[in-house]
Amino acid sequence: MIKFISKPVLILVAVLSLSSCKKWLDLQPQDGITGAEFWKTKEQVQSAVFGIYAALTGPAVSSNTSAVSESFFIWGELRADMIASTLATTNEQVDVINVNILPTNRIVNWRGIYQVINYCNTVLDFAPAVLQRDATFTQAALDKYIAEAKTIRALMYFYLARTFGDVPLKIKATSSDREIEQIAKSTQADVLAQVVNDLGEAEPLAVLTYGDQASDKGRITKYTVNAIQADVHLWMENYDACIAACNKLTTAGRFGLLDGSSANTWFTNLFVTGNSNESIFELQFDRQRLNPYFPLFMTNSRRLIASPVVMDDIYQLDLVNPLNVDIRGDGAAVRSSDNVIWKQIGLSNSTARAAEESYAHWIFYRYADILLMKAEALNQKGSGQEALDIVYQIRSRGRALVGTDLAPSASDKDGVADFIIAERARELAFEGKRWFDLLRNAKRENYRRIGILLNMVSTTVPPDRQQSAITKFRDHNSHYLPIFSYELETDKLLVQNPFYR
Amino acid sequence: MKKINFKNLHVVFICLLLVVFYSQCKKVKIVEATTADKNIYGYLKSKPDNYSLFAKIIEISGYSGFLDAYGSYTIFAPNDSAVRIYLAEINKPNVDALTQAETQGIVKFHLLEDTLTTSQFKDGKLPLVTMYGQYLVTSVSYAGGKSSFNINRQAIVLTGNTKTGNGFVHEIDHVLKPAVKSIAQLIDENPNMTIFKQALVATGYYDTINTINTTNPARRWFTVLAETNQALADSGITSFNALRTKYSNTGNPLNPLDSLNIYVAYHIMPEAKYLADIVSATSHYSLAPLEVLSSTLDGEKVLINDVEFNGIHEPGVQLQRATSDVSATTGVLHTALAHFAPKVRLPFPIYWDIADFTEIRKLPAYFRRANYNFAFGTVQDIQWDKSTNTLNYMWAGLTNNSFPLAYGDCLDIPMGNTSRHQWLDFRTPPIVKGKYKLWVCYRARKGSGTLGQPGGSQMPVQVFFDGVPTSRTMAFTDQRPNISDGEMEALGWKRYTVNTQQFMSGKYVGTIDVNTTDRHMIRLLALPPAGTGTPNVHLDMIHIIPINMHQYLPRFDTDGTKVFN
Repeated sequence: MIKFISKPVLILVAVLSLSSCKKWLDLQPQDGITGAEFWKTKEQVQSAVFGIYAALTGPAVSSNTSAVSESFFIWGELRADMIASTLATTNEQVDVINVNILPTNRIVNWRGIYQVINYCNTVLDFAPAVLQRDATFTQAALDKYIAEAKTIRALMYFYLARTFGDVPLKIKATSSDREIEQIAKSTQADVLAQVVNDLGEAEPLAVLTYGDQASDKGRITKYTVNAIQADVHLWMENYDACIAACNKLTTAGRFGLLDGSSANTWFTNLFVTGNSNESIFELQFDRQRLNPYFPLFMTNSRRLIASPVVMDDIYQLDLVNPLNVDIRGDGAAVRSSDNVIWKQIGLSNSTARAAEESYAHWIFYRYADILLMKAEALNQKGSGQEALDIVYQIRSRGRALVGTDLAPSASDKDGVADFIIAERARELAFEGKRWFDLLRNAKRENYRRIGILLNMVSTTVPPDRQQSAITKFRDHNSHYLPIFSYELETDKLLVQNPFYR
Repeated sequence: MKKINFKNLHVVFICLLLVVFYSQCKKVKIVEATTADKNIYGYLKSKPDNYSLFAKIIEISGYSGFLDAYGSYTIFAPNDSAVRIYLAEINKPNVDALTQAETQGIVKFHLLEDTLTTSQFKDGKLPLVTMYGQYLVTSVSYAGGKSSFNINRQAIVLTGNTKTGNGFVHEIDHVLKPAVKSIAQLIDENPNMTIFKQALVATGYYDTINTINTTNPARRWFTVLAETNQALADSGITSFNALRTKYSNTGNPLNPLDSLNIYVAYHIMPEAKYLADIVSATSHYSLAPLEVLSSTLDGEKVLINDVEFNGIHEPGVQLQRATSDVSATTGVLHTALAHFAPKVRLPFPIYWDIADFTEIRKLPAYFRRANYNFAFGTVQDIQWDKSTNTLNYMWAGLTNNSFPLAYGDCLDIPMGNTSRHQWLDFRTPPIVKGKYKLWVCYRARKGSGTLGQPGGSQMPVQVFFDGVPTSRTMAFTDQRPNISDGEMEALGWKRYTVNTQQFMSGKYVGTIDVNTTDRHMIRLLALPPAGTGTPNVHLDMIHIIPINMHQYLPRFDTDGTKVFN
């Protein structure tokens, strides 16, 4: 039989079978890039770093959590007093407002944040080795990337420490299944120490400018590091360090308060166009990468609106001269006719964004925030007058109404502190700051002013839950969110916050 | 190749058959339960180190069967140390010394027939009554740096929300004990409430709140707002005699028409209402006929009858939180910190500018300055049927001769049975109980046709007061006749503006009986069969004027000035 088959055919069969064998034996994944293939060139390092930013702006990583940029808002605002619920508010959000948080509430799922942290860890672990593999990759370029990864990791841990208190501290990358490990919680103090350490290491490595405005505001610069340092030190009650960090920004000559003489121009430049001279670090959403705020604030079934107190008490109205308004109130923070949260939704003072235009940047830090942080630290150091000067500078730019001027005496430390809290509410409304502001001031000096939180919660919960909520808030552990139930099931070393047991 | 041997095949086949046959005989484990989750009793039995005594109590009570069967329950399970504390209190050596009836009482008081998690715990009673027949009260208590849920002010929840097959188990640190005293007994024992107690006895209400009414479920529970002697003394009443002299006008306090009787009845509500329930509603019926108590939460203070009446603020009476919310067999007892009684109020006229409400006042750039459209659901005291429609506030100005409206503004509310408003509901300002004439004041207008002539647009409307239709219908397309004020009033019309143009019309729609001094609802309903309605309905004011008062004066100017001629 064999003579019927010619030699060329036999050779062809042999070649074909061998070639297919080769593919068959190759165990590389078909749909991804392995570590051995990656981390070879500087372009790959860059794309890994950009991946961190993409994760910050990305959608929810799973169905039982939200986008991290949504968590920044929810964690910073929902437990405070400037948000009100609507008929479309989810049960889980209502539970948070009512101080009824259970560990099964998806709002407390930190998964997206830890994913960002892991991307940072991956860059920190693998990027240095690229120096040997790619001759065109320089130490200076590596330093820049290391600074970005360390700073974002620090920012994420700062969010976690403020929101959950004690959290697991993971500073090594998880790049394969073998490296999945169970870790116990570190104390809030240890996490914050790591944050300070990371920022300290990042500061000398970070660049001053990338050469274009969008990168300067959308990526980590030395000034971003300083801004986070100021916030962290203020939280840790290290006022000298906070003031020093603020001074690095105020003396940089690169930032200033935007002109507030036209309310609409001010709003458009700062919040609609973004990347202004007042901004320090903001998430760069765009038409291809929309932010998650539209369904939260704008559709007919909007989940959250501004509380009536925002216009009634925080900004107030001039009943004599209605044209005399705080530019930061109606048409900037809220649309007062129906209490829509406007900052992330407005395309101008009066027109709203459409769904496909919902790409307002998320501002982490801006110059006004830095000035008010400095005022807060100065006040704690006993320089009440200097603090008040800063507050009045912010007020005059925002054209705050006389009715909101608490006019404390410079020596009245708590009075000035209250005035700063109120001014931060006006200036930084709905920028994810309010809850952290209240908690930071309440917990200062071993919870000396817990009354701030108790008064606040007495106004936000329904009347038939008021007394329960107030008493729950007396327990300091209740100020931090519980660990999500799924995390507890998968990591047996985690211990639930005792308030939620 | 070898040929297949068919003989061998036979043997193989038989062997195979045998194997299959025997394997069938092997016992297959059949799962009979749909779940391996333990039910409540099973769960308690499975934790003998914590619940052995309570499980034993359930066993003696004979309820272990149904607590292990299908259902939905919530049980507050006292742990072993809790039961030991309880046994020591009642001087029993062990749980076996308890009778079956006693254990049944204990179990029933810890058991509710629904699933409740801690997130449903509020400041007051749980939404369901226990199987024992008394409500449990929840709160949060703070001790040693830790806040915990507190049940009935007797026990703390140690572990909450343990889910079992037929409900939730909440571990508590003390056995709950039902109230054994009636409200009357609680007042009786309180040395600070002697005057109020004497008033209760004299008016016969003492017995009402002392015995459990098993025949009339509407009188099963009561809430009493008792006044302390100090509260009465603050109002100059230092003895029961002084109280009786002040109020008892018939000399017989047992007479329901006697003012002392009404005074006491006004302090009793026919339901079990804890403070959380009181602040959750704005008004509550009392036993005094048609007298309501209004309630508000001011900061953390619970205030009774804190109202603004006819422009005057009347400060309320505070209920003291620490001494209130006391459970009793017949209901709840609260302590009022000041003296209060139903107020004798004379009916007063309400000239209600319908375009003046909280939400528009919050927009100073628009209120009495510019037009504004309110989206559906954004106005608290005005509701309408279609979510696609808006409520249009209209500002016409002070010198607009086509729109000489009172205060220069009105609501522009297109009505009809098309896409326009089918109905609108308005919540009135507080009206004192009494008889009133109801006037709807508007600017008449026809989209097509001429005012005062037949034909053209029609906009007939039925007005409802608290759901009851008024005696006359009206139409926004009709203008008032041009005759003298007296003649007009006889026909049910009036000129309510200083401006004399005929289209500024006030239409009498009926006499209303206001039974309770409270806020009420007025509805305007477009009558469907007549035409498609009109886009021009300019509702300016609603006048609610006591029947014995002047009906067509005062008149209103565009700046709101009242003119009495």
